Amino acid sequence: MKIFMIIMLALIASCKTPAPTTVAVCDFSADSIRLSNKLHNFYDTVLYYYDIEHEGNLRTIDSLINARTPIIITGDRKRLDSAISAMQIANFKLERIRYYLNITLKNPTQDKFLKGWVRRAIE
Amino acid sequence: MADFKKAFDRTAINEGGYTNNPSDRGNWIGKALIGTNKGVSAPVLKDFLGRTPTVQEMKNLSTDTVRAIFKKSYWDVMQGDKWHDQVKAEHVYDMCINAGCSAAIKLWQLAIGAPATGKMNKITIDKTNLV
Repeated sequence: MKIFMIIMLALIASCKTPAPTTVAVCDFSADSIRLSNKLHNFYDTVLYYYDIEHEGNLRTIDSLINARTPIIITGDRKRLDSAISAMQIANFKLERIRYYLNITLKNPTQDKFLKGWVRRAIE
Repeated sequence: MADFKKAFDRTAINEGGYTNNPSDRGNWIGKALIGTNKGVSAPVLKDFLGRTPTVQEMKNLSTDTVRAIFKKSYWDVMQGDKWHDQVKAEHVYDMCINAGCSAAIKLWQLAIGAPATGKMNKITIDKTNLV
């Protein structure tokens, strides 16, 4: 069980890079998969986006992300909404696992329930 | 809008029958081991009935009663009828059943970048329904 917990903690740590604050965005018409991965890696949460024309290209977006600057997303709204929804749900699953881990760290007698809780969280 | 019936049917798959594991805090009311049935813990049934339930009442819980409890204690508290996205609503509803609505709503607020109050409010609903 301890090994399982360590693996889960490492997974969470790798998914949640520190720092991010605000808004992510991107021009999904450019390279949606690559940019979607960037959102996962560099931002906790996508809070808002704006329908503002932005002549971004990959190089511009790279520099903005590296500077941890809020970026504006443009592009196909349906694809964007879908990506943001998926990220919100992924964030929720991670928060849920973190919550369960905290319970077991505070009260090791609850260890026996952890596997089932995590399985349910990620379903 | 999200549909309670769909959420209820989906979550029911995860919930088992009667159990009374003493190390599960949700099975106790004070010093009385009441148990859990169909996802309804002892304290939740107590809140619903307005009194401490008996073990037999817990064992005899009907699906209709469970549905009424879940609607009142979880779905309505998270304002599920106002959610546009069924999948998001079902995730949070499932956590409500598992850990209570205050924890579930707080984790959802953290996930979407809303103020983490643990109470459903207009800001959270608006952010949830933004996409």
